[in-house]
Order: sequence, then structure tokens, then C-alpha cells
Amino acid sequence: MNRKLTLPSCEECQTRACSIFSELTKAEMDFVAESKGGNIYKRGQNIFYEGTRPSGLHCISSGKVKVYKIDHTGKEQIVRLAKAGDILGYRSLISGELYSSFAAPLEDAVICTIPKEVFFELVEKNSTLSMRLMRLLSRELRSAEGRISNMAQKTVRERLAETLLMLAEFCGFEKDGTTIDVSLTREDLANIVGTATETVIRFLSEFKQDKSIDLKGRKIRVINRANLVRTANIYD
Amino acid sequence: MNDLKAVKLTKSDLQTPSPENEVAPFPFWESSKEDFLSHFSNGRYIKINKNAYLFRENDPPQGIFCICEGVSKLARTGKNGKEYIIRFAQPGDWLGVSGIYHGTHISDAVAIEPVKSFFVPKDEFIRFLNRNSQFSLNVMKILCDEIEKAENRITALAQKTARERVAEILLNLQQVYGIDNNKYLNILLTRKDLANFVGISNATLSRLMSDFQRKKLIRIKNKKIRLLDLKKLSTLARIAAV
Repeated sequence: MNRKLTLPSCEECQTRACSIFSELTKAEMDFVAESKGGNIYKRGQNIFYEGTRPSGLHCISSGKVKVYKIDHTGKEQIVRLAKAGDILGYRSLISGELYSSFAAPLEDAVICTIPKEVFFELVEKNSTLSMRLMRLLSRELRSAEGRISNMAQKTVRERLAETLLMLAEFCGFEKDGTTIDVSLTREDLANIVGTATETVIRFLSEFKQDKSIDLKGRKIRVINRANLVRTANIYD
Repeated sequence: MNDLKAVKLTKSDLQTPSPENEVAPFPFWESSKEDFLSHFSNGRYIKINKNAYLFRENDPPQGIFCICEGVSKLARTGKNGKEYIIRFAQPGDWLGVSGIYHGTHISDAVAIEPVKSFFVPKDEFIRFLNRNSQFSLNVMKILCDEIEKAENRITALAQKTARERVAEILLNLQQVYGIDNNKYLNILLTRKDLANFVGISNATLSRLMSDFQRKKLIRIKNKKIRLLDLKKLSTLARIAAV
């Protein structure tokens, strides 16, 4: 397996346009490009671990990543997903604390790392960047707080349906227009919903019987979106 | 905003803060409180009565509130009109920041005891933020901290039983609000608020609380709660001992 990587160029980066770095000046971008490092991460590897100190900002060039926490019984809870163009580990960096969660790729992911000092220098000089960060944090807070009320008020069945809709929106579809473009294990799916793996498997086959979805290995195909929305009981 | 009454506070109100919030009101700010306030010429102190709203879910934000005294709850109303409490805000907290970047508030903010706060209009807040990168980093830290707390709650809700969550939240409340002279929790919550915070029904909460009393983990007197056995509660909550 060839693990040699030519670092993706910031200037030609396809995903930069939708990242927080979309409005950097040419000089600032060159500054980032010169100072950054990067690597390919494979499923099973970790990008960072809870309790370690961040040395820089991770920026996803390609691939999807899960950010999760582990309790002392070893059970994992996925707190959010990230994709190309998203940044990782910025919260620990900003608050000057140790990582409070783990990050691992769901599929091969190319990730650039921008040194801490460079990141802070940019934030200080570029007020648009800090505005973008603030907006990003606000969005994340909103989604985390929304999930709290979901967890407390919705049944596992409703949450699973909602998670599938969220995945479809977040990851998009494959060429066929119905298969969700992400390869999650049933366990990952259970760890997003916050339930046992066997419960997820049971409800997935129920959804399949209802003809809401179709299953093909790890892949999930949305057949009847309206049905899923109804099951998810989405009200806002 | 209709619930807000801009009240001119007396001098003594502002100059003799009670000891416990002496340091709290303006966190992450290296200059003195007066220096800080002088940056916001349109800012003003306001008093919010018990049970009145600071802002409501989906309202367009008018500005941010820096809590100086009193506790408010941040809550969302879910299906069936059921309320769910996301967190409690205490002196030193800034409320409404994420709303500004979203266009609408994420949740209701309700004073559960009389609240005194410093209100900064939205435009002035953003202007100041743009000019001052250190302040902007400090505000980001506040948001990071709130997200962190929210993610921990998600994990707890997914992985812990109602019993474990009640124990965890009681310990958490003691850590944040401290205890009074008689060792009772320094925050007075209604049963309903506590149940809505744990995410369980009132009946389940009552059952668990009487069970905790029977096991001598807590004592309840006049609605106030005293934690008797922190070690056992920590074990029960499945968190490292406090």
C-alpha cells in the first residue's frame, strides 16, 4: 500500500471554497501552504486522541471523519461527523485545553495540519476568518443543543430515522441519487444514534420492510424520504 | 424583549456585588470591569424578574446578556409542548452569542430567580468583536465551552440511565453552584425544572430522589437538596470521584 502523499496544494484545493479559509489573501494562503504538514489516515487509525495536546489545526482535504467520546466502560458516542472542507480540533486549540474527544476517519482521509502559531496569527490578522469561526462555533452549538433535546425527547426509532435523513443531507448521495454516500458500520450508526447495535439493526430491517429504505451491505438507500420524515417526527 | 424592563439600578447595586460574584461578571477579560463596560456606550444594566424571559427561541437577537447575578435556564420546547432544559446560566455567562450569528435564538432564556445582567446591543457587540481580536478569541472560548458541555450531555443521555444522570447532575450542580452554610445546594430548582434538565418525567425523578434519600445519599428539606455521600453518588454516576 502506497502511503506516500504529496501534500494537497492550498491554492488548488477544491474544498477551500467552502471552508473557513475561503477568504484568505494570497499571501496568507502561501503562509499556510508553506507551514502545513499532512498525511493519509486510514480506517482504524486515529487523527487525535482525547487527553493529548493539540499542536495544530486539522483541515480535511478528502474523506469523512467521526469525532467521538468514550466513557469508562469503553462505549463510544459519536458527537459529530466532518467531511472535506471541515476543520477538526479547533475547539481545543482555541480554548487552550487538551483534546476532549477522539477523531478517526470513516474512510481513507487526507488531512492537512496547520501549526498552532500560524492559525492564531491568521485569526488575529484576518477578522473575516474570526467571524467565520464564530459562525461555525455558533452552528455547532446549535446542532449540539438540538441533539440534547432530541436525545431526551425522541425514541430510538425516531432518532434513527432522523439520523438517516441527516446523513443523506450531510454526505449526499452516490451517482444513483438514492444511496447515501457514506460507509458506516452498524456500530458507528448506533454510536451516532446513541443506542445498542442490535437495536439499530432491528429498526433498519423494520424501515426496510416499510419500504422506506433498502440495505446493501453497509450502504443505505433512501427509497421513501417522506416516510422517513414521518417516522422521524421532525417538527422544526 | 417585551419582558425586559430597563431598570436604573442604584449605585449600591453596582458597586457592592455580593462576594461570590465579585470575580464572575466579566470573565476572560484582563482589564477592570469599569474599563470593560466603558467600551460599550450603549450597554445598560437590566433587571429581569423571576420567570420572565430574557429572550425566546426563534426570536431575532437584539443583543447579548452578560449575567451579573441570578440564575436563568436555557430551554427548548419540543413536541407535545414538553420543555427540555439545555443548561443553567450563572453569573459570568454570556447569553445570546450564538443567536447573533444565526439570526435567531436557539432556545428560551428564562430567569428562575431574579437576574441582573449587562445588556450589549447586537451591533455594538459585533463592532467591538471585529476591532478586538483578543476579545473575539475570548468569546470563541465561551462558545467552545458551551459546545463541550452540550456534547457531554449528549453522551450522558445516550449512555447513562436516568438514575446515573440524576446523580451526575446533582454532583454537577454542587460543583458549579456550591453549598450554603447548611451544606445545601446553592441553587433552588423546582422539581419540574430538575426533571426537564435530566430529561425524565416528574414521577421518575420523584421516585429516584426518594430512593436516594432512603439510601442516605441525599437529604431534602424545604425543597433544598443536600448531598450527603459524594463518593457513593460519584460511583453511581459513573464519574471519577470528586
